[in-house]
Amino acid sequence: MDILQTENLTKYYGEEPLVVKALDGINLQIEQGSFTAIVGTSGSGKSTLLHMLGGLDTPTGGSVVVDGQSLGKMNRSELTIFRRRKIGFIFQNYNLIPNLNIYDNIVLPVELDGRSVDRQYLDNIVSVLGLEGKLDRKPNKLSGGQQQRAAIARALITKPALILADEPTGNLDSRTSQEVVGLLQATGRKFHQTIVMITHNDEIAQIADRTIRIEDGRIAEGRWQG
Amino acid sequence: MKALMILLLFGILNLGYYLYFRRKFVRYSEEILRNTRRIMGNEKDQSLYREYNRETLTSKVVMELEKTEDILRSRMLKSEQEKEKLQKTISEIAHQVKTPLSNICMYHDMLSDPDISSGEAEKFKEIIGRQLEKLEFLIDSLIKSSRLESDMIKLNMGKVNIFHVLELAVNDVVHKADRKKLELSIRCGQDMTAVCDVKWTAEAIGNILDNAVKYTPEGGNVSINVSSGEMYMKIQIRDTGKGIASRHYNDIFKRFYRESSVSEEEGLGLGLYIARNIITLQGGYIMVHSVPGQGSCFSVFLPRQG
Amino acid sequence: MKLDANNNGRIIYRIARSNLTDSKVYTLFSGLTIILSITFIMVMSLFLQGTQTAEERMLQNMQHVIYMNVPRERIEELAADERTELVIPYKDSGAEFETSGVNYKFIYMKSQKDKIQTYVPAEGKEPEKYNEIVVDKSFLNGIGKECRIGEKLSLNTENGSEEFVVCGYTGREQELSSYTVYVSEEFAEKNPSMRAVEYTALARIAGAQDMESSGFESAVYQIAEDYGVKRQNVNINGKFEESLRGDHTAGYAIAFVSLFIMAASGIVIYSIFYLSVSSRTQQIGQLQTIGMTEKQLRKMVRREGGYLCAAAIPVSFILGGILAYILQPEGWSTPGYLTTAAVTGVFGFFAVQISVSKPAALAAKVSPIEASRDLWDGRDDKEGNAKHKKLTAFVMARLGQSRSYKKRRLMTASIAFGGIVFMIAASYLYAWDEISFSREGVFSDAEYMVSYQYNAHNPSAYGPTDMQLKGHLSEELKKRLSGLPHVRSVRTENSVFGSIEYQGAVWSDGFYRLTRDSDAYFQMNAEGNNSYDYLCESDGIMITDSEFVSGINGISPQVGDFITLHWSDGAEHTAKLKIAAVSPDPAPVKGGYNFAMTDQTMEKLWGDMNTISAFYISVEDYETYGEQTEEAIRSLTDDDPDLSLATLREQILDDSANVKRIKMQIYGIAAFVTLFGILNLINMMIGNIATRKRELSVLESIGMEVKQIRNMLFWESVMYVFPAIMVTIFAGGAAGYGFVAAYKQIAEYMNYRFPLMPCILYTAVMLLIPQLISCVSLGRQKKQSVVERIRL
Repeated sequence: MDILQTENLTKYYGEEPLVVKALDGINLQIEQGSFTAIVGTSGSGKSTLLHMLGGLDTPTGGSVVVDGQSLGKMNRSELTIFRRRKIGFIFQNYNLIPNLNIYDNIVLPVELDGRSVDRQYLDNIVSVLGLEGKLDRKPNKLSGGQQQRAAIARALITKPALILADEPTGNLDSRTSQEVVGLLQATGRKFHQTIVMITHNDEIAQIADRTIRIEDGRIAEGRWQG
Repeated sequence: MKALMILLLFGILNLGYYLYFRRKFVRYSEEILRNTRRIMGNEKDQSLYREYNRETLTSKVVMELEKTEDILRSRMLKSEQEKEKLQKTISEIAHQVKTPLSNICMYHDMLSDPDISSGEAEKFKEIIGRQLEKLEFLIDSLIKSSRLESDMIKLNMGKVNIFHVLELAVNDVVHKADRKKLELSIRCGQDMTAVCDVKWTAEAIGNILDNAVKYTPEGGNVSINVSSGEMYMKIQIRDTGKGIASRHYNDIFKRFYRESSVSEEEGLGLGLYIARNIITLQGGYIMVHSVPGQGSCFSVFLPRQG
Repeated sequence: MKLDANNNGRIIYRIARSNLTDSKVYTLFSGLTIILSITFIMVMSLFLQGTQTAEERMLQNMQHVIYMNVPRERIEELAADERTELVIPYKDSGAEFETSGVNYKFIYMKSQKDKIQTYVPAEGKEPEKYNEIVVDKSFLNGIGKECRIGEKLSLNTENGSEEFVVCGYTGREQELSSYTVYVSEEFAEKNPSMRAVEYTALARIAGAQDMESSGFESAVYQIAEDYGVKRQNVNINGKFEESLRGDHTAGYAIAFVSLFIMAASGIVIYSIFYLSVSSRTQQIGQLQTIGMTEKQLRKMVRREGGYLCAAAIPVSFILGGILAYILQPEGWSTPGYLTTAAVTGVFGFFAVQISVSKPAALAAKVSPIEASRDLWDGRDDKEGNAKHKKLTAFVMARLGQSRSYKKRRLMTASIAFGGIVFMIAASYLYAWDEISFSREGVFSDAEYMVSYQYNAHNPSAYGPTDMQLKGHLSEELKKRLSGLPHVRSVRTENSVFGSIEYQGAVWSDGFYRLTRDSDAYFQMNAEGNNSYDYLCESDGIMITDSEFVSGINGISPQVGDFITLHWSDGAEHTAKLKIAAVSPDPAPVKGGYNFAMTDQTMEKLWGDMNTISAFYISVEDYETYGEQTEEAIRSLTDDDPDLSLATLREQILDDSANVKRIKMQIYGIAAFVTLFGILNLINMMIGNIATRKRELSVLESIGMEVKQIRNMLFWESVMYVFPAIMVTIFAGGAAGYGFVAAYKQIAEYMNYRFPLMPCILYTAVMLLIPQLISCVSLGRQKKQSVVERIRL
């Protein structure tokens, strides 16, 4: 079953004649439970694509359907709530809230929705990601790798339909990068999540089930790695 | 008298409030039930969508119900998929088995021919023998891989000394390496541990070593280096072989994948596939980095804690 | 709240709280801003209210009217009259005496604390026996006697030296030029110093507070008539009457000033929060990505404002109350304080809420990705054309500024408001000086006045004419006075006196002498013809301050009417004089009478009689030669009991307590206002730099020296401080002028002078402080490495 479909997704900036075509007609299907890597050089439009998939930006044309719901039909507030409940984000610069401790950061999406935290699930995630004992520290006391792992935990906590990772290893050294992306894949598998990761790094991308190459706003090739 | 009136008024107000909130409550539960039915029904009608993505309690419940339904459905799908996979595996086995089987039949027939010489008969017996080996090996591997895939394998996870695992793995390939005059080295601390199953992990690493040895020309070397990361132990297996093009990084782990240039070499193309499955099942992963013409480096990551 | 609403409120409050506890700089400065602004409003408002209240309180303990020359028995009757609430008899010796270098006069009056506060002995009792007296502490100190009950002393009286016993003393320690010795009734009746003097009654009218001013007036005059008190002997307490008039202008003034200050504070609060919120766009973007809706964001930000208020506003209440009390203790009223606190608190709360919501809403509207990349900095998205410019610190500052008009305008407005208020305070300060205060009136151009010792309490029909006939203020005296060393000039004042009959009223009054040069009179706005020639021709008189004259005498002067004047030049005469001009404005010459006639007319009627009424002596270099000149003058005038000498020195002395109080208030307010302005600027600058830590660190990382960054910050600050200074000087100057002009209505001693020195100081400080702050802030930032700063 496809958890994500885009149809002719486009994003143009500027006006004629100086139009920048960040995305130029993307058609994409992502199967549920899979780990997809979107690879491309900088400027290829991969970040823009990820932002569209997560409802962080509105496309110029085309549609994005996540878990059966069309993002284009939602207003800003609905999009925010949709993101809160259905999508987990992992960013290159972790984007943890600096003045909250790790525990608060992880459970933030859940608390924003007024739900109580599934303590067992949380403990499970925390142990898989090796964050025990670090829960009451502030992000600036953790290494880059640890912060990213906290971000992964945050992305998992709501059991979202889709996890979007934007260059998750961009700020990490190669050793930490390998670990982080390995964990990403492991947790995705263990907790049955769908992951879409964008990266410019071929080696990192190999861990995914499927690689999609994007260039100049279009899909160059997409190969299944069975 | 006045006090009584006030008390009465108070009582009426309270009753009023109670009835009002009771009605709201009942309506609320009706709404949820209605939405539940809608979700379980195959047609998700428009009115359901109104409840999505709103900052209300109903919305939360509805979306959670929907999620539950999705999970159930996907589990159902998964078991169907597994059945499919099993089917596929069976037909693959059948397909793969056909060739060696027909060979065996052919040579067996030829053996039955009284006109053949004893030398030829010996040769035919040998061929049949080898084909039987191959068949055995093939069926073994296929069953192993299918068992791995359908999670039918019971892994004996525990904190394991890596050096010990490597010893087991190296044992299998040491002869082949010697024959090709390859230098085999291990760098691993005596007290390095990871959480895994000794037997299976040794097999996985053995498969990788096998590949390394297979594709490294004479006089080259294969080195094993173990280091620890924060979450994983990294076992790096380097060879000075022909290398793998980066666009094939994932292909090599596919079933029955063999590079065109090595078709003369022995092998089924299942080794890396099985290895990856074993490692992934144990919560680890394999990554590869290679420079064509210089060599490859396989990194096996095993979790340090369970 | 709808029943179905999502129950996700609690996390918002947690995040709001952690936002505040985590960025201490932001919290501290926002809190400080609120405290400053609210305290400012409270202090100013309470001060203004306090002035009103103090006056009201004073009036509650003062007489409503003074009836002069009332016989003793009638005073008893008056007291018993149901129309009067309280009557206190009072006798003033009028004449001054001197013993051991201390001047004093004798006054008999009942000691009274409430309703009409006369005097209260701090220790001891009222005088009963003939020679018992109550005096001030300072009097005893001056005479050189010990301050205790039973102390005996000799004082000069009409009889020569007499023995007295101190039966009590007041707590007053203020040194005065002339003291009051409170005597017993027996003394007042028997002693020749006071025997002949008529009693005066200090009275409070029953139910006067509820009367209208006209009703009050008629009641007062009715009582006077009933007890045979002449109209000119009725002295109504002007301030009290004014209070009855229900004049709300004071109230309006207070409201207006309070509103203005509220606006100033509001802008200050708005700008500091605008700055801080617009620098948090990164956090806002992050939160939106995770799933915080606009509504939740606004709630969070408003909660922060709420917490800040909860901490800051109570502090402001306490601080404001304390400061207001210090500035004006007599004006303190607890209900007034509570009301002001409530209103100000509510205002402050809403100001903060608005200040915090608006920028938050704006920030929330930016797309989450752009916001979380932290590029938005209050930007208005105005695309200028990006021509290539050489990147000096100045240019960079200008580029930086053009990105956010709104922010810059806000900061400028905030500083400007502080500046305007500062200018008003400075103008207030500069418009007033001690000497002018005391010089106001008689001593405007002279330091000494020699005049006839005329006792208004012991009036004669023709005023001081008898003394004029004795001629002690002679040309000869004038020559001798002029001849004294260092005396610069001696000005003569000529006045005549007589009894006027008009419209059924009879009273004695004086006439000021107009010469051809008395332009001030001729240029006054008056009905009729007040030109010199006409007045001479028609032998007319001019009446000034017509309303006062009407009130006190019960007449209504009309141009063209005739008054009947009885005067004496040794012999009694009567004449009819025409009222040639009537002006509502007060006499232009201080101390001048409200009736005036020309010198020609005066000569016609009094002939060559000596009509000198006073000598005004001015001395060169008063500071140096003042004292010795005074002694010299005294030596010439002391012997003559008819002459009295009033000096500037004595005036200053008498004014000193008052002056001290006024000074403290003015300086206090000016200081507070200045502090407000400066702290506001510091606050903003620090906030500005702290929120741009990342940006400045990036600049440093690409090679901009700290010195260059400081330069850039300096030019930036100039760009928003400079317009503020301009506004301060011009608008503030105008406002200051307006304020002083308005204040002049109630305090005539104010004279507008442009506060140049404060302006210059202000400009210097305003330009210096940003430099200082940048140094300090950048210095503190240096503690972290560049990389860390950028990453955070």
